[in-house]
Amino acid sequence: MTTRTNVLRPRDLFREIERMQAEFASVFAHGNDSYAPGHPPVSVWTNDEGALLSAEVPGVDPEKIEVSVVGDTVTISGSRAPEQATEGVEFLRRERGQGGFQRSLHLPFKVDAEHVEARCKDGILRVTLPKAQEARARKIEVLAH
Amino acid sequence: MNETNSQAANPQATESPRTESARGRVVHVLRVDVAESKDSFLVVADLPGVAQENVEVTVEKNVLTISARADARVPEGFAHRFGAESPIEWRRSFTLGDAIDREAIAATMKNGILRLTLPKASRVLPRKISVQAA
Repeated sequence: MTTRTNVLRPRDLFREIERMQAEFASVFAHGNDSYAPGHPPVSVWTNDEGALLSAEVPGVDPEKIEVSVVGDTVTISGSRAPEQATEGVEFLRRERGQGGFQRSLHLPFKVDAEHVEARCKDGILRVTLPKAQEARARKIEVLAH
Repeated sequence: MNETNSQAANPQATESPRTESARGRVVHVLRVDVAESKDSFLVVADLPGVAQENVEVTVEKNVLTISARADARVPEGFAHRFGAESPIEWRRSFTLGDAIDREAIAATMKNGILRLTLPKASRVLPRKISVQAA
């Protein structure tokens, strides 16, 4: 980041701090992910209907991934087998992580556990978490009397 | 494993031409497993969320470079809450030893995992020469 100008206008300063924070976060989320298979990077998005969760699980057998929801907490867990060394094959480097992982996240609302959907493609797990009926905003009509 | 072969996976040989990206993004070092068998090397790398067309494997002189990009996973109509959201890039270079047959390098992608097979050139493979009766 050496090419950035040193002169910052005050209103740019906060944007710059935010950008740096995001950059730090992304470095820590991904820089060492392979060394910490127990903590796969996770991203969450929300809207009025619910939340979307995505997690990086390359090489994990989708059948070995478990997604569970209790109240407002979603937990993903699974494990990945190490590359098998077959007869006559010698590993020179092993930088990729292996073994089990588990992450739990608190969502800002209760989840409708009956309608949670999870899909795995290209090593990315995507979980759709709809809001529970009781957590949805309801419009209450004001009656004139 | 002899000296020539070990060059193929020499840890000191990574990151060859230090070209900076002008895209203002972080480029991550690709973590790999490297294995050697009698007739080939195998390189395995994690590339979650990377479409096949976004992986590039190049061999220039004796440097093999893997570069890949996972597009930003921004779902429409949602607000980002937590975790990384920007596109992710990876890169890593290896110096190839003479033992590798450049023409026969093959790559496959499955489940977010890249597997590169680097066969050894036939001239370095052990060969049995049959003795003819004169």
